[in-house]
Amino acid sequence: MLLVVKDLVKHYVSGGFLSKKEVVRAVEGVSFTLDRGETLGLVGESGSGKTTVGKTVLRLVEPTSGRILFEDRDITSIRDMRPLRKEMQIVYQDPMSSMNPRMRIADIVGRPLQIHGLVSSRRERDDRVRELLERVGLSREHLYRYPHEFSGGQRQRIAIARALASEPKFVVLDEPTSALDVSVQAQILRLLKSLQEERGLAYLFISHDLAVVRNISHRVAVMYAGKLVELASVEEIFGEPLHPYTNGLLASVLEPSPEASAPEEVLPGEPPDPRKPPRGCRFHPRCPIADERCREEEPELREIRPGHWVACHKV
Amino acid sequence: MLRLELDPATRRTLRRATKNRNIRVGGAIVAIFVLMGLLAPFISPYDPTQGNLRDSLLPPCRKYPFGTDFAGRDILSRVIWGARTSLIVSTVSVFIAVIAGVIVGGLSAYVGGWLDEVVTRIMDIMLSFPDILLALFVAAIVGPGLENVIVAVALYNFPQFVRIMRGSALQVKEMEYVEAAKAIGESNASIFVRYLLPNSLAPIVVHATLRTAASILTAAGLSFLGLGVQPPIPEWGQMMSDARTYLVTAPHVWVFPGIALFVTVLGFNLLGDGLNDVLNPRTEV
Repeated sequence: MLLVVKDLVKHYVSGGFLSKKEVVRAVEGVSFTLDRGETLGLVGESGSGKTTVGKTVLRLVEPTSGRILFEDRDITSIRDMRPLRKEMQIVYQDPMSSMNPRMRIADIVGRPLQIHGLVSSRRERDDRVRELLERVGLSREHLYRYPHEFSGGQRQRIAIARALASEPKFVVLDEPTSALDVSVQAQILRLLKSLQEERGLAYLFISHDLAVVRNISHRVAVMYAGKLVELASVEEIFGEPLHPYTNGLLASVLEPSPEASAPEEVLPGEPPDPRKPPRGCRFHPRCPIADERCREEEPELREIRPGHWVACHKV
Repeated sequence: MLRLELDPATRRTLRRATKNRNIRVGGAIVAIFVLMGLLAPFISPYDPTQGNLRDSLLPPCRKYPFGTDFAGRDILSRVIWGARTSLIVSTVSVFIAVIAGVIVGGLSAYVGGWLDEVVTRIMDIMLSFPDILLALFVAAIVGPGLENVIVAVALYNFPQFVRIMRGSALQVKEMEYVEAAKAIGESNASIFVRYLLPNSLAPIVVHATLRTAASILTAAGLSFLGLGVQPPIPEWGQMMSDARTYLVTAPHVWVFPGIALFVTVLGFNLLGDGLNDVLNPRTEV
C-alpha cells in the first residue's frame, strides 16, 4: 500500500475564551487505503469534508487524530514535512488562485525542482520546465509568461506540470476539472490518465461530479457529513450501490436523454450542520428507509463483500 | 534576449497610473519639489544662510523675488533649500518606517500567535498617541537636530506601516497560492519573501506617499516649535516660526514658505489618492 489512512479526524475549534466554544466536525473518522498507480475517487456534497480529507492527508491541514502512513512510514506527526513534499503533491480546483500572480511559469513550475535540489542551474531548470510544459500539452515558449495570460484549461495544465515537477508518487486532485468547460474537462482527464499510466501515479480524486469520477476512478469512496458511507470499486458503486445516500446521489444525476423527465427530488433536505450532527446515523434525517435503530446507533463501516464497504444498518 | 523584467500586475498598474489625473497633478508637484531639493545648490540665486542686514525684511522686489527675512536672507533661496531639508527628512524617515514596518508587520501576520498579539498591542499603544505628540515626545527626549527629527518622524510613522502591512499580509496569507507554496515544500522564509511580501506591498506604496505628506508637515511643525531642524539650516516650519514677529508688517516672510509647504503636501496627497485608485481598484468610483 502506498497510502494508508486510519480513523482520520479533523475538528475545527473556534471561540472558547469570550464567545461560546464551537467545534466544527469536518472529518469524523475516515479510513481508506491507496495503491500505487490507483485512483480513488472521493465524492460527496460540498461541506462533506472531502477537501479537508485531501489536505489533511498531505498535512497541509493538521489532523486532530488518526494516522496517515505513506510508504509504510507514519507521517502523522513528522515535524518537517518538506522532504516528503517531493513525493506527494496537490492540484487545486482554481489554478489561478493557486499560483502566485507575480511569478512567471518558469518559476511556478521550476520552484519544486529547485527546492528539492533536482536541478543544479537555472538553465537546467528551464530545460526541465520546458519538457514538463510540453508533456502537459503547452508550448515551450510559455516559459516566461505569467499565469493571467493563460486560459483556464492551460492554467490547469500548468498546475499539473507543477505538481509533477518533483516526480511525486501520489497526487491529490481537488476538483481539478470543476472550474473548466466540459470539452476542456475531457482533455484534462485524458491527460491525467495518460500521466498516471506513464508514471505509475496514485491519485486521490476529489469531486462532486459523478460522471467525472466514474471516468477516472478505480475505486470510489462516498462521503457524507465527515464520514465515509460507502467504499467500493467503481463498477460496484455505479452498478449496485448499497448505501441509500449513494443511491440518492446517483439518482439525482440528470439523464442526458430527451425522453427523460426531470428527476423527482431524490435527496430531500440538506446535509446536517457540522457543528451539531444528528445522533445515530448522520444520514437518517434524509434517509427514506431509516428506522429507530438508525436514529440511535451510529453504523460502522463494514465490509459487506470483499472490497465493498458500507456504513448502514439496513444492508 | 533582453526583456523588460516587470511582472504584469505592475505593468498594468503603470499603464493605469499614467491616465489618472490625481497622479498627473500630484506627480508634477512632487517632481518639482524633488527637483528643487536636488538642484538647490544650482538654482537658488543666493546663499540661503548668508544675509545682508542692510536688506532686512524687504518686500518682494526685482532683486529678491520673494523678499528677504529679518537677517536680510533671500526668501526664495531659503524656500528652495527648505525643499531639500523637507525632502531629506520626509523620505529618509518614511523609508526607515516602511522597511521596519514591512518586516515587523509582515512577520507579525505570518508567524501569528503570541508574537502577533504582542506586536499588535505595542502598536496600539503607539497609535493611541495623537499624531504629533509622539514625535514631539521623542524630539523632546533626544533633543533637536536634523537626525533626531528624522528619528522622531520615523518612529511616529512606524506603527502605521506595521498595522497596514499586517492587515495586508493577513489577507495574502490566506490565499491558496500560499498553501500551494507549502505543498511544493517551500520553507517559511521562502514563502515570506517570495509569496507574501510581493503580494502585500500595494497598500504600503499608497500609504508611504500619504505619510510623506504628513511627515513634511510634522517635521515643519517640530521645527516651528523649535524642536526640529536648527538654524542656520533653512526649513519651512522654522522660517514661519521666525516670521511670527512680523506677521502683519512683513507677511511675505511666512507666506512663501507657507505656500511651499501647502502645495507640497497637497501634491503628495493627490499622488497618494491617485495611487490608491490605481492600486486598489475596488475603491475606484
